[in-house]
Amino acid sequence: MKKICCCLCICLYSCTPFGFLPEPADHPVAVVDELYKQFKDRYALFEQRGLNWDSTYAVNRGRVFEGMTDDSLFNVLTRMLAPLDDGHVQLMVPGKDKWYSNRIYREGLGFELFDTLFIQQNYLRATERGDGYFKGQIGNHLYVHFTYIGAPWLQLPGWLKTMPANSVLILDLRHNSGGDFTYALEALRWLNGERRSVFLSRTKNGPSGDAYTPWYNWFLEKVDNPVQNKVIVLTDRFTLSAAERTTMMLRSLPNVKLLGDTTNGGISTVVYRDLPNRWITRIPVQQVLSPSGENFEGQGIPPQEIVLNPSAPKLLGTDLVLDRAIQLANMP
Amino acid sequence: MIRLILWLCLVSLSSQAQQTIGLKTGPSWLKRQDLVFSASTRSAFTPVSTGISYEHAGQKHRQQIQLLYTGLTGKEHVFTYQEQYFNGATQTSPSNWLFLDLHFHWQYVVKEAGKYDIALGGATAAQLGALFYGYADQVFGYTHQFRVSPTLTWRFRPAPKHQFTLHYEQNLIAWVARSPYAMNDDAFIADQQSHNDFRTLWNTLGRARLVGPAAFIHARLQLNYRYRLGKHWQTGLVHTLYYEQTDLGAPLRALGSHHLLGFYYQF
Repeated sequence: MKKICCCLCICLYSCTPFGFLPEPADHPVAVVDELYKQFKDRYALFEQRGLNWDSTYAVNRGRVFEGMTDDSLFNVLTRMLAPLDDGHVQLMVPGKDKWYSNRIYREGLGFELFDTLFIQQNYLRATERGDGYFKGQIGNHLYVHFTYIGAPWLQLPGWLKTMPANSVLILDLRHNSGGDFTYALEALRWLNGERRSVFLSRTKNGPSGDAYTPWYNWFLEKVDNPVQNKVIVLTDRFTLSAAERTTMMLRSLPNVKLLGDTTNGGISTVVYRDLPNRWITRIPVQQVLSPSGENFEGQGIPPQEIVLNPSAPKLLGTDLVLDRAIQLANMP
Repeated sequence: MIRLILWLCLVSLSSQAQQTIGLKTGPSWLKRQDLVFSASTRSAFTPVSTGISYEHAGQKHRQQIQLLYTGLTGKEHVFTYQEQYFNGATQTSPSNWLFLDLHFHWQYVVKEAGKYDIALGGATAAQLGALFYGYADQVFGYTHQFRVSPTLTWRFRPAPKHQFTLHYEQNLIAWVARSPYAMNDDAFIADQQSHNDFRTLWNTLGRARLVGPAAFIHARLQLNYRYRLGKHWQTGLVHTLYYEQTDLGAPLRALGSHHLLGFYYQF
C-alpha cells in the first residue's frame, strides 16, 4: 500500500514537465511571427473586418529579413495591421507617434470639426470643467461633454435630478475615445424605467478560430422614478469603443435622439500584448451585437439624423451639429 | 478541515509549549511568465516584503501561521511614445504585482536524533494576488489560490544558540482563480462592474476551480536560520524559494524568492 501511494505521488508530481517556456526571440522575423500569432489567437474580428489574416501574414513575412532597421520593421508591422482599419488596433513604439490601424484616427480625418474650446467660449454659460468632462447651460438646457467613459459619469445622475422638467440634456460624445462602459451603464440607469438589453458580446477565449465564450447579454437596469427629460446625443467619427457602447445604451432608450456623424466602429473590448522587441500592440478580443443582432463593428453606429460640420467651427463661426441639437431641444 | 484545525489547536494547548511571535522583512524577487498577459518572462523586485508570524512548538507538534505582504515592481524596459490626441509624450508603465499570503503549517516530529529532528506535516496556504501588468497603461488581473500541501521539515541544532531548518512543501490539491485567457472577457468586466475593490475580490474568488497537482503545482523550499539572543529574543534569516506552474487558461510559470530578516519574541 505504501509503495502504491509513493508511486502515485511521484507520478502525480512528475508527469508534468517543469520549467519556463521558450520565449519568442527578439529579431525581426520573430517579431512579425509573434504579431501574426498574437492576432491569430486573440483577434475576434477578422470576419467582420473582411481580412484574411493568413494571406496578409504570408505577403508581409516575405518582406522581413534579419538585420532590417526598426523603421523598416515598423513599416512591415503597420502594413499588416492597416487593412484591419480598426480604431482599437494600435502599435506603440519608442519615440514614435502611437500608430492607429484606423485611418480616421491615424490621419486625424475631420478631427478639427469638433472644438471643445469653441463650444465653451461661444455656447455655454455657467461652465464647469472637471476631470474628464465639461458642462454648462445652453438656455434652459444642460450640455455635457465627456472626454472618456469613466468615473466622471457617476456625477451624471446628480446633474439629471436637478434639471427642470422642460430642459433637455445634450450629451456630447464627439471625440470621446472610450474607457470603461460599465460607468455609463451605472449612470444611465437614471434615464431608464424598464430593464432592457443593450448589447450582446462574446470573447475569443482560445487560439482556435471558433473558440468564443457564450454570448453575454448586457442589461441597462431600471430605476423606479427615472428622469423623463429628453436626451440628444452627439457623435462623430472619433466616438470610439466604450463611447460606442454607451451610444448603444442610449439608442435603446425611448426619449433619446442621436445626432451628428456615424461613430468610429471599434466597439470591442481590447487587450494589450507586448512583442519580443517590447513594442506594444492592442488587440480587440470581442464581437459585439445589438440586441436585435446588428453588427456595428467596422461600420459604426449611424445617428438618426446626420449633421456634419463642413469645416472647423472656428472657420464656420458656428457648430452646426450643436446648433441642430439646440433647435431640436427648443422644439416643444 | 475545521475539525482538523480544532484538533491541532487542542493538541497545541494541551502540551507544555513554546510560543513565538515574529516580525520579518526583506527583499523579494519574482520571475513570472504568464501567457494570459505576455509570452515574455517578466521580472519584479521589492526591497521590502513584510510579514508577521506566530509559532507554537510542543514536544512533538509544531505549528506556524504567517502573514506576508509582497508588493513587487516590474523591471521591464519602459519607453516613451507620443500620444498625438491626448497627453503628448507618454511613458509605458512597469508592472506592479501585489500578493498577500496567509500560510499555516502543522508538523509532527517523526524522528529525533541528537542535534536534528525530522517532522512530517501539512500546510494550508491562501494567496490573494492583484496583478497590474505594465504596457502602455497598467492592466489589472488577478491570481488567487488556496493550497493544501504535505510538508517535510528537517531541523538541525549544531549549538544551543543556533538552529537551522529546511522545509519543503508541494501542494496536493489547490483551489485556483486566475484572470481569463482573454484578460478582459464579459465575466471579468462584470466582476469589476461595482468598482468596489472588495466586491471585485469576492467576485474573482468565485471564479476559482479545484484542481490536483497535475493541473497546478506550487513547490516551496525554505531555509531558516535562527539565533538565540537571550531568554526571549531571537533573530534569524528566512530564505524561501518557490516555483509555481499551471496551464489553466493559459500557461503560467513563476519562480520567486523571499529573503527575510526576522526578529522573534518567545514566551
